[in-house]
Amino acid sequence: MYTNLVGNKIRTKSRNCLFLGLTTYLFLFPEYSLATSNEEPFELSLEQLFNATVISASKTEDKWWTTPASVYVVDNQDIQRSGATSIPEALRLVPGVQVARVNASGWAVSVRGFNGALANKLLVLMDGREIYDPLFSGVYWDIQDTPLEDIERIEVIRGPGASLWGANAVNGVINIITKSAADTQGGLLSGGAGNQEHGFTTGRYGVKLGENGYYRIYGKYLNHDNEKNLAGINSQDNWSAGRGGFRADWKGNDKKSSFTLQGDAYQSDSSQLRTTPLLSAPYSRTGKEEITARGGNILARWKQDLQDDARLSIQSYVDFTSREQMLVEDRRTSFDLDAQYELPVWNRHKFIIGGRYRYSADELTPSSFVSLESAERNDQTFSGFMQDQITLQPEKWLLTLGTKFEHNDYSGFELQPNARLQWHPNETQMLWTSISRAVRTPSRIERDVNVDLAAFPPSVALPVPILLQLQANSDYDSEELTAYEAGYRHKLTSDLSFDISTFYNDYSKLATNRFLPFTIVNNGVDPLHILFPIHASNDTKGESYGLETTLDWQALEVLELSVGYSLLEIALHGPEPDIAINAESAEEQSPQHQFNVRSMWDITNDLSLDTMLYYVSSLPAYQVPDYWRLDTRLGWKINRQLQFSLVAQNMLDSVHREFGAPSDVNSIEVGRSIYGKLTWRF
Amino acid sequence: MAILKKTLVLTCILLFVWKPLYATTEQRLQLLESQIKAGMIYNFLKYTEWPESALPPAPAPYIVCILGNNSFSDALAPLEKRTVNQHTIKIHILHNAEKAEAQECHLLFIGQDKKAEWLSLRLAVSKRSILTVSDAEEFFVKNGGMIEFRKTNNQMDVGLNMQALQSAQLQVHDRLLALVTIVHPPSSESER
Repeated sequence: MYTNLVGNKIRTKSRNCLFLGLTTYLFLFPEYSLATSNEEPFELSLEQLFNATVISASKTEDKWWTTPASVYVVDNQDIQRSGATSIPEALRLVPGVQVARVNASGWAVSVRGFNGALANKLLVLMDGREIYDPLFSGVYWDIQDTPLEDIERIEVIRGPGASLWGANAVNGVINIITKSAADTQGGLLSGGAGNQEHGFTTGRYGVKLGENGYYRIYGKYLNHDNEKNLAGINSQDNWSAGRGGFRADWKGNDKKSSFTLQGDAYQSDSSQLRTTPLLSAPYSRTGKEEITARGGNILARWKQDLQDDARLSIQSYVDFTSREQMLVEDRRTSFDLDAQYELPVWNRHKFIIGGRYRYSADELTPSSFVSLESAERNDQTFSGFMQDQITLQPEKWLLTLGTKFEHNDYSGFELQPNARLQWHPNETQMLWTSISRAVRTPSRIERDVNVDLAAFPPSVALPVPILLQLQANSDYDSEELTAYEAGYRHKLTSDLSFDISTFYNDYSKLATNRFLPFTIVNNGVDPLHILFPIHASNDTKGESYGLETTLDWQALEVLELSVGYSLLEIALHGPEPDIAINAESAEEQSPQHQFNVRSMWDITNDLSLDTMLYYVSSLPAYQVPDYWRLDTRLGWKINRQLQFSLVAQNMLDSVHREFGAPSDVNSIEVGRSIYGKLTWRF
Repeated sequence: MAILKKTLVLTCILLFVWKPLYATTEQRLQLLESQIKAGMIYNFLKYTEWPESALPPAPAPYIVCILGNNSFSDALAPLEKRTVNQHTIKIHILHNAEKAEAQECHLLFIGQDKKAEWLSLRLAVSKRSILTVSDAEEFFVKNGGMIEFRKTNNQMDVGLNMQALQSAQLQVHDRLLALVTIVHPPSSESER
């Protein structure tokens, strides 16, 4: 669903900064002056007030503050000041999100564990469009490269969001929201380069479209250098990507309706090393794999405000993606239609109902290492949801009951209910607790695809090679979660706020690679070998618990500090090692502790210094040691139109690894990166 | 520090040099939403006439009441140090929708989180000379309120319900009327 669960958070910070900038400017040019008092608008004429441009500081204010879920919002300013050059890098700011760079164009991103390059228990949306790939149920981050300048905010919900958002919103939801075209009027040209970022540039132009409409177009290109792998060898993973798109927003004359039309087209060219199995000496071969991903999408959204606070929204999109790589080529077309109706408040009830239809058609072209149960597949998903927010005691107690019901072609009917209770003892505090069920539905690869994983050379004991093959399992079912959560928020003073969420997750039917009976293959085509098949089964159970906490402190008008910490403990109970492999490996694929400190300091009106320090504990599954990471950014507003920033990342060590086993040729050492960037607004 | 100073000087020079350019592209003031709202509330007091029965002669205070969430309390606070039309100003923060308390106000602001409270207060308030203001867009004036803040395309607009003002015997100056959007709610909704 595309409802924004949370709104903007207040940024007193930006207010002060803007204010200082504004007063300096007004001091210089008295004709725009706020006259005698800089802080009081009472000297302005009515006409001046009506003509003034509103600087957004508190649009939907504090909505996240009253959301009974573990929510964190990263806004445009946070992103810009983090120095991040991609969406996954910006997600490092969120306590409890595990972000690890795998290689130049790949990231492992998860929430509350089970991390992987295609982590599958996380739902990621871009303006309401699902951007995870149903082949693996993971997100290809190399094609999610919307210009950061155009992103209004990223809302992260840690924990299940399935009742509202749907399947795969098991451990979290990341909702990326771009700015309205009305907020991106005029021109913007930015570009930069550095030792790792060989060059990136973004252009955007926004104009008015008739009486009530706005429009923008954008283009972006980037080129990222090869990284180095563990042996210090060039990992041949350089990445270049280009994309372009538009967004148009209209508001009806009565301001009750709004219509949005947006679209993007992109191409990403990257490469990586891949080791493929061979049935004769040397039994494996490592070569460069070229990956070309192309795609496009177009989305329309209509919102209509009705009588008495009721609201209807309808959204539809078509998305096309194709990904050519060594193992399998994937072409997919998806269509999605989604409607939501917020009923008028009735007594103490606020109902929301919604329905959705999704059609996804794919065409796979296998390589010699892959065979398919079916080369083409068309899937349909029907789903509905309803939610009732009940005011038990006005302003004190609220209960939200909701459920999603879905029918998909893989696992049939799924019911995902949740209940959330919130209590506001006073205006500055809030406590919430929830219980929810969520499922991760099977992906195409688990159901339909056979992949040769590895070959083992003959030994003295066994004089023929062994081929390990992942086979499709048509009985593979959804993974299930029951989550128990509780949280507390407190605005200690107007400058200091605190937020903590805790969770206990009870998983069942988790994916497990189970051994199947081996066979001796003597087909006359391949060399004589033993085929050792495994397939995905639902044989593992587990629990996880942990917490995420944030402390935000506006220490001075010009200095904001924030501290985040997250704890994660996972215990899995899979079959014995002679029955399955790596059943419990997810225990050690996500860091147990993550810690970050961030400061945003406006040294002067035009000069700012931002520092981010991250600590990530070790990943024993990949022998990745714990590491500290220090990023800084110096920003200089040359004038109202030109801005320069200098960013240095990973300043503490020359290289460190963030993900992937040492034996994996693709796991890179993340090195120091320094780049400069110039932004021109006109 | 020398570098900083130089930077500042350079910036100032740049600003001066670029000033003509601003004058063409940047005629408007840029203000925070809270500042605009606070400034407008001040002007609502200034350009509204209360009947003598409702407002004792100056310097008797205007009582400005705030119910519910708002983003401009801080911006509004300095108002207490000012006078409008020789009247002083007092700001009351209401914590619940008590009718007796609300009836003492000259200007009553209802936050958009207090829509339900407004519906219950409405009858008690609307026949008195109380200027009612809210940021509950597309709700307030439809439901018997007088003035509604509306933000569109980064500008603040004001919707004004003439019928509600007239039945409360409040008179609004033409200068303000010229700038607002007059809303005519369906008669069944505007009163009662």
